[in-house]
Amino acid sequence: MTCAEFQKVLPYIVDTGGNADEEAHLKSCPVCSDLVADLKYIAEQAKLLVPMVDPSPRVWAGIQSSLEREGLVRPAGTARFPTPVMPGRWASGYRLLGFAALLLIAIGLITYHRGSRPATTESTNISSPAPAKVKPAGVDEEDTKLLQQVSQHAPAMRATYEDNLKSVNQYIADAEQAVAQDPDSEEAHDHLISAYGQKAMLYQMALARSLE
Amino acid sequence: MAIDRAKRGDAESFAALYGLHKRRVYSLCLRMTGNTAEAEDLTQEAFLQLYRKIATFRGESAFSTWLHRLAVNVVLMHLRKKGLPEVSLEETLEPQQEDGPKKEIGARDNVLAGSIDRVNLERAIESLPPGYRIIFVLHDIEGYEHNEIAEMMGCSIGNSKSQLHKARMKLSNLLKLSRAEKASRR
Repeated sequence: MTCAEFQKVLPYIVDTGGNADEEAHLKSCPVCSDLVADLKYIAEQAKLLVPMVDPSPRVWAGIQSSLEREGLVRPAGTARFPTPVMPGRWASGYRLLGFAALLLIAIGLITYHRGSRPATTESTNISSPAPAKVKPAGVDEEDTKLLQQVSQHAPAMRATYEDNLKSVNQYIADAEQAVAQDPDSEEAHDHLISAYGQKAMLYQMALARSLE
Repeated sequence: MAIDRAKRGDAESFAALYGLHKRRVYSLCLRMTGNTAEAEDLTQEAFLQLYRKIATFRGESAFSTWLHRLAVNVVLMHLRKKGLPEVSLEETLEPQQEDGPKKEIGARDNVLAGSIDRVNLERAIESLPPGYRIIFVLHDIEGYEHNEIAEMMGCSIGNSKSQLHKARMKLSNLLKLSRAEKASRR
């Protein structure tokens, strides 16, 4: 079997494996085996592309207004849903600064809020088993504080926030790597801004929950 | 529970379902269209259809699978109206030399393994022609089988396999090109 013959049938056997002749060619031909390795590698990497980007709050606003217009829900019965409005089209640098500032403010407020909890809560905690201080993998120290806040106010949401924080931290790491590799890439910078924006949004949502 | 309450028209439960599934639905729309504004409109349309049709959800499949299929149909319907898939299907059925297997890629130091990161891959997928991109997203990212894709797209299973192969070949070339460009800048 030649490379041309093998590559002609490749689309139909790449994921399932071929017959004896095709497998024999694959084993003996470095060109075709490298080609198959590349295609399988791309497919494997694609499976790891988890959804990372949330839709703009405009989407939810549009859904709500459409449902209200159609009379499917009452305006008064507007569902409570924390969708902080993100800033418009700032220049990239200002946006990044804005998100970073927002993140810092959110962290600061959460820390302040924790420090100003009523003494009764603290005394209740004394008799309780000490909470585990283990930092979950994939989150930093501030994230851990945030998760503790979420646990106190909305225990059911903790796992969701933890998953989201891990995902967004991974996204930030990937985007930082992309920026480091290609500092002139506007797209890489946009990914980084988007990643920080998502983290700021998570903090904002958690903060809104803890101040309720 | 939220599904049952949403079926009875409970707006809070519908909001909870939106919160749980918005990211996956939006990502699907964004990857299939490659356009933020279109993806937002289609996400909105998918959830509006969800609200209207949720009473017909019988629980025969997982809710997320059902919603996902609904969202795919919304996107495909939109793309059909735009005439994109038909054009792209025809285009991708034609043999294209640039996408064909290249025998010179056999050099061992030119394999992709270990060199793809998420950002580069997302970028390469975004730059695929629409016909390739849709099949690649549905099969390799979203996990649909060729028979399901063939049914949704109105093409043969062989056509779906052929287009997926061309999409992967194109991605391989794009990723290698991007890697070579980066290396030359260093």
